[in-house]
Amino acid sequence: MALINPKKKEVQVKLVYYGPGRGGKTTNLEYIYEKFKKRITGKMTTVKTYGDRTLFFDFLPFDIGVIRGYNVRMQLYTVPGQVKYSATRRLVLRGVDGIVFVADSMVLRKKMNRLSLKDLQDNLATFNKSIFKIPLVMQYNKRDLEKEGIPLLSYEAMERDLNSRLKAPAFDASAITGDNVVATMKKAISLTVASLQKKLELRG
Amino acid sequence: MKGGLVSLQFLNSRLANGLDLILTRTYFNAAKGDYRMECTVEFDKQQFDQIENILNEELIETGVQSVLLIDLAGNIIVSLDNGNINHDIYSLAALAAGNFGAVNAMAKIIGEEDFSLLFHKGEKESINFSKVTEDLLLLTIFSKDLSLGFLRLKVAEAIRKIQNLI
Repeated sequence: MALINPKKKEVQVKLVYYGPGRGGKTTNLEYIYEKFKKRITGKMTTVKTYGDRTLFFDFLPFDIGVIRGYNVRMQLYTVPGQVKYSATRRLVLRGVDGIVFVADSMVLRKKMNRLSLKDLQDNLATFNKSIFKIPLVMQYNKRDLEKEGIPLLSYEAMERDLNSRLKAPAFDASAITGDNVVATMKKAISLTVASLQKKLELRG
Repeated sequence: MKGGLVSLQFLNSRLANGLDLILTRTYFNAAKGDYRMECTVEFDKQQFDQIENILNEELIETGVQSVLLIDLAGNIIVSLDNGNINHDIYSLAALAAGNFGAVNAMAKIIGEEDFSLLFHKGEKESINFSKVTEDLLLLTIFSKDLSLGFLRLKVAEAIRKIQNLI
């Protein structure tokens, strides 16, 4: 749920990075923060556990420019990926406007990706949102591991497994090297902003 | 449509700064383009002014350091301060919304609807959380010079006035 402030001419939009634990959601945000540091006015906030895993969320505010006279502020969040943190993920999803699903391309993680996607669908449903309607981008992460001989599922296999019904835009990526991290984010922003634009047009 | 393209180009120029990727016109043909974005609150400019006045009169002029009206998604609706502080309010709002949600979830686990008092006391500064509506939360940051009891009275008065407005 975006927040439109006609007084300050500002819109706040919430983009959430979702996916299984150790899939690279935080690494995506860290790369974006490093890359755009000079233009990001706020700081990246993380709430981590002892083992350096995301406990609550990571948060990165990011001004993307002016649309129809409104300054648009994207608020990027990650969720904690581990299965046991489902209640926390639901909290972070509250008011979400767009989603990046960061899937792990390793063959071993196939089942975890599916479980996480189902968890996303269920958690969205608690807010009366449909995974088929919300702006969504798929990212098949960890492609860099191919060079190290670690068995990965191909792009096509990932598509069949996760995206055959959703048909969301999808990217092969490597969050650790930054490959396609920005492309994923831009796609998610453009889908989310397209729906915002409609909203602003309706307001006149 | 033309206006949309102009803003797309603007967005693109902002994002493409130093990058090699270009957003395409698929922006307009997005498969999910029919998705209608929802908004937390639909206040007009006058309501924003009125809420700011209430928070200013009831809280800032009473000696409160800073006041944030946020939604439970972590967005800031109104922020006011006494001019002497410089907090990262966007991170504060995100964390406060999550914190409030977590505490409410804890309340439900032990059979309570919610906890009526949510308050963090620091050595110099403290934070008080108060629910305004189902979706809105008021954060008040105040120093040890102000008593919690007095602050709660003023917060309750401000919330009553805001509730009458919306």
